[in-house]
Amino acid sequence: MNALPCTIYVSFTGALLALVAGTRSAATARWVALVTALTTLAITLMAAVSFVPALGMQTLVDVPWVASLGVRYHLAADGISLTLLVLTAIAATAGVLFSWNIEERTGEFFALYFALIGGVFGVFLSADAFVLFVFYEIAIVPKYFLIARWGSTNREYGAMKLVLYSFAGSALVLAGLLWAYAAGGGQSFGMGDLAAAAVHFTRAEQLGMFALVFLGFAVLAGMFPFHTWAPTGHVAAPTAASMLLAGVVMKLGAYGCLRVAMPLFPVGFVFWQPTIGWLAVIGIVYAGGVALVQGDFKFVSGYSSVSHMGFVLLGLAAANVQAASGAVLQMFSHGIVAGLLFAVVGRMVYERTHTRQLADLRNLPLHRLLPFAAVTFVLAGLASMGMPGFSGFPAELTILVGTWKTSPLWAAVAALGVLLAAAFTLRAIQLSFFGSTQPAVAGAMPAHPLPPITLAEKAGALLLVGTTVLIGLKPDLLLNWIIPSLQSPLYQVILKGGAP
Amino acid sequence: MDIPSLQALAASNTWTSILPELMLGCLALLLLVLEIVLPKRLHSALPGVALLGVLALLAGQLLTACCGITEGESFNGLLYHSQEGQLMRVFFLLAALLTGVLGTVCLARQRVAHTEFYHILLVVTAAMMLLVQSNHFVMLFVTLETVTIGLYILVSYFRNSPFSLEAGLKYLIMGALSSAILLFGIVLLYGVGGNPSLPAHTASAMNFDELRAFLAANPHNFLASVGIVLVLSGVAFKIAAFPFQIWVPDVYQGAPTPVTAFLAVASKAAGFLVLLIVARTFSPYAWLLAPVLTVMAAATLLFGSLAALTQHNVKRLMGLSGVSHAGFLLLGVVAAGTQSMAVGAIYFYLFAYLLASFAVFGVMAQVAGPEDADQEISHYAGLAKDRPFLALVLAIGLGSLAGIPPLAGFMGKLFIFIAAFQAGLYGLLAVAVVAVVISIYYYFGWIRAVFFSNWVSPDGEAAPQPARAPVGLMAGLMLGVLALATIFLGFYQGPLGQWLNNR
Repeated sequence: MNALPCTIYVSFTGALLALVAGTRSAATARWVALVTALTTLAITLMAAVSFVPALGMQTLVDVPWVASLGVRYHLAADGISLTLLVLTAIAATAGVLFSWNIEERTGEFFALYFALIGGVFGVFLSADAFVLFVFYEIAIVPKYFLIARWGSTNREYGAMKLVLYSFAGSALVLAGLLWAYAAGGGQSFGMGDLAAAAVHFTRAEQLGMFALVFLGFAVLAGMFPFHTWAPTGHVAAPTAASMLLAGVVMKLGAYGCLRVAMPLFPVGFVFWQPTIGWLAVIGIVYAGGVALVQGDFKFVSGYSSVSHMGFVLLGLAAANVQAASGAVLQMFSHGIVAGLLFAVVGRMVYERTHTRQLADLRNLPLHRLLPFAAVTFVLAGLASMGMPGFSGFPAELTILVGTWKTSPLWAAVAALGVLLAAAFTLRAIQLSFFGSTQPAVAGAMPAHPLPPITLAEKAGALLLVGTTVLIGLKPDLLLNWIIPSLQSPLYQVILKGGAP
Repeated sequence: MDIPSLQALAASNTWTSILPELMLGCLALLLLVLEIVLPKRLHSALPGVALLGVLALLAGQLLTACCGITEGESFNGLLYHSQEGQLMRVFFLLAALLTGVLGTVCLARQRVAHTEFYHILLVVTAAMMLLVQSNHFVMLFVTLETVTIGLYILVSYFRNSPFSLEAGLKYLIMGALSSAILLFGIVLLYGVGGNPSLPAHTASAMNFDELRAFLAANPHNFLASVGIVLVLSGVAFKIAAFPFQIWVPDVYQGAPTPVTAFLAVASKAAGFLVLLIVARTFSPYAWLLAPVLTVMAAATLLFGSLAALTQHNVKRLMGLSGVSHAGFLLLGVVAAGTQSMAVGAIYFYLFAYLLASFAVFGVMAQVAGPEDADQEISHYAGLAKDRPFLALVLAIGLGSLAGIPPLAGFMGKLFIFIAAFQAGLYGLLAVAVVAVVISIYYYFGWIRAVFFSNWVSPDGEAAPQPARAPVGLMAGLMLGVLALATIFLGFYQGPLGQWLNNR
C-alpha cells in the first residue's frame, strides 16, 4: 500500500527519462515507456494484493505544503482509489503497447503521455482538495499537446475545444472549493476538514458550492449537455491519447463528483439529485441515438463513451450504495472497454486502411484482412453492449438495479440505452468488419496488402480483453474493495440502503 | 516660519533612510560621468557597470529586508518606511536589473545611445522606490512625474522607428492628461481639507494621515468625493484600468521591448502600490471607493480578456492581457478594503507576474527582428524546433500568466481569489473566472504557434520570419532563472507566503 505514491513519481520520472531517451532513439524511448508503465502496474497490483478493504481510507503521505493556506500534501487510498489506480496502470500499459508504432518525436510523445498519467495517479490518490485540483490541472495540459501534435482529423480544433472545456470545468471546481474553503474559516483544504466545516454552511451556500464543484467535474465526465468536447476530442486524439481520454481522464471527472462534490456538500447533492439523474438518463439515450447514425467509426466509439459515462453519473445520482458501487465498477469497466474500442478503431483499422468512414470500410472484407482485429472488436463490442461474461454486464446491471430502488422511471429509460448500445455496436461491427462478404470486388481492395497486426498490439489487446473477462466473471474482486469504501461514514449521509 | 522650527524640520531629514535611492541616483550620474571620461572603446562596459551596481544594491536591500527595518516617518512625514516599502524596493530593483539585461539584447540591434538608456532607467527606478514609500501628496506627485517623464523618453527611445515615436507621443498626451486629472483631484482634496468651516479641518491636507483624519470627520463631503474619484482616475491611467486603458496597445507595441516589459511590470506595480496607499487614505469613504473599484475591476477584467482575443501582435497581446491582470489585482484591491490578507496576495501576485512577464518578454526580445514593433504571433511558428529552450521558457511564462498550476501565477490568482471569497465578492469572482478561461484561449493560441510549425496567421499569409539569433549567455541565464523561479515559487512560497499571514 505504502508504495502507491510511487506511481506518481515513477510516472513523472518516466516522462523525463523518455524525453532524454527520445533524443537518442525512438526505440529507447519506447522501452523506457513500457518499463515505466509496467512498474506502475506492478506497484498497483502489489498494493491490490495486500489491500485490506475494512481499513477504509488509509493515509500514505501527509506533510505540510502551502503553510500560509493550510494546504497539506496528503495522499490516501481506499477501495475506490485503488480500483481506479489499477485501471490507470492497465490503461497506461495498453496505451504504450498501442503506441509502439509512433515514430515522430517518440520521446516527447511518451513524456507528455506520462505527465498525463502522473497527474491522473495524483488525482486518484489525493485526500486534500487542493492537491487533487493541482494534479487535475497537471493532467489537462499534456492532453492539448498530445492531441494537437500527434492527432488526426481536425486536431487543433478538437484539442482547443477539449482544453477550454477542461479549464472552464476546473475553474468552476476551483471557485466552488475556494468558496467552501473561505466559508469554512480558511483553515484547511483537507477533504475531511472541509466536509466537517460544510455541516455549518447555509443551505444556499451548499447548493451553490455543490453546483459549481459537481458541474465542473461533470464536464470532464461528459455529462449531457456539456459532453460535446468528448467526441471531437476523442476523434482528434492519437490512439493512445483517446484510450486515455475515454478510459481514464473521463473517470477523473466522475471520481471528482463522487469523491469531492457529493460527500462535501450533501445538502446540495440532495437538492440537485433529480436534475443530475435526468441529465444522466438523457445523456445515455441521446448519445446512444447519435452513435447509431454516425458515419465515422471513431465517432461511434466517442458517443458510446458519453453514453456509458451517463451510466456512471446515473449510478451516482441514484444515491444508494448498490448503484454507486455499480458506478465505480462501470468506471473501471468502461475504462478497459473504451480503451479496447479505440485501440481497434484508431490503431488496428485506421492506421492500416487510412479511413474510418463506415461507408468505405463496408466495401473491404476486413474480417478476412484483419481477423485478429475483427475478433478483438467483436469481443470489445460484446463487452460494451454489456453481455454477460464481460465487465460491462455486472456494472450496468448493478447500476440499473440500484437505480430502480430510487426511481424506476430512470432505470426504465436507461435500460433503453442498453438496447441502443447493442444496436449501435452491432451496426458498427457489421458495417466495419463484415460489410462485404463477397470476395473483394475489383477496386475495393486496398492497393497494398494491409500490414499484419503486430505483437505489441496483440499483447495490448490480450491485456485489455483478459481484464474485462476476468472482472466480468468475477466482479467481486473489485466490488469487495468498492462497497466497504462506500459504507464509510463520509458517504453515509448521501448513500442510503445496504449492500446488494 | 522661524529658524528653530525649520531646524526642527531639518532634523527629521534622515538621509540614511533613503540610502538605496540615493545610491541608485549616484550610479545613474556615474554612468554619465564615465561616458565622458572613459575612452570610447570602453563604453561597451557601461551597461555592465549599471547592471553590477543594481545587482549589488539588490543584494544589499535583500539583506536589509531580512534583518528587518525600522518602520516610521522621515522627512517630516513626506515618506513612510515600512516592510512593504522595503519589499517593493527589492521588486523595483529586480525589475530594473531584468530590464537592463533585456536592454543589452535589444539595444544592440539599433543605432541608439546606450548609456542614457541605463541612466534614465536607474533614475526612474529610484523614483518608483520613493513613490511607493510616499506619505504626502507632494512627494507622491513629484515622484510620479519623475517616473512618467523618464518613461516618455524611454518609450520613444528608438527614435528611428515611427512606431516608437508614435507611442511616445501617445504616452505623453495621455500621461499629461492623467497627471492633470490627478493634480486636480489633489487640489480639490487639499482645498476642501483646509476649509475652516468644516470639522477637523487641517492646514496640511496633503499629508495622508491628516487627510484621513479629515475624511473620517466628514464622511459625506461632496467636493471630497469628487477629489477622490479624480485621484482614482489619475491612478487608473497608470495601472491601465478600464476606461483609462486606451493608450495601452499602441504604446506597448511601439515602445522598445525592454521598456514595454518595464511598463508592464514596474510601472503597473508602482500604480498598484499608489492605489493601495490612496485607498488606505480614503478608507473613510469606503461607500464610494468600493463601488467605483468594483465596477472598474469588472470592466477591466472583461475588456482586457476580450480585447486580447483578437490580437496577432504579441506586444499588443501582452499589453491587453496585462489589462486583464490589472483587473485581477483590482479584485485584490477591492478585497483589501475588508480583508488584510488581500494586500499580501497582491504582493505575491506582483512578484509572480514579474517573473512570468520578464520570462515572456525575454523570449520576445530574442525572437524580435530588426523592427522592434513588428512582432507577430506567426513569427513564433516552429520556435520549439529551432530553439527548444526559448519555447520551454515561453511556455512556462505564458502558463504562469494564464494561471496553470503548479506555477507561481496560479498561486497568485489563488491567493487573490481566496481573499475575494473571504470578502464575499461573488459577482466579481464570477467575472474573474470567466476572464481566466478566456485568457487560457489566447495564451494557448500563442503556445500553439510556438509548438506547431504549420501555423498560419488568420490573414492567410505566412509572414516572413526574422532570422533567429543564438541566445547570449547572460540572457539565457536570466531566462533559465526566471523559468525555474516561476516553477519554484509555485511549490514553495517561503517568505513571500508569510506576508499573507502577517497582515
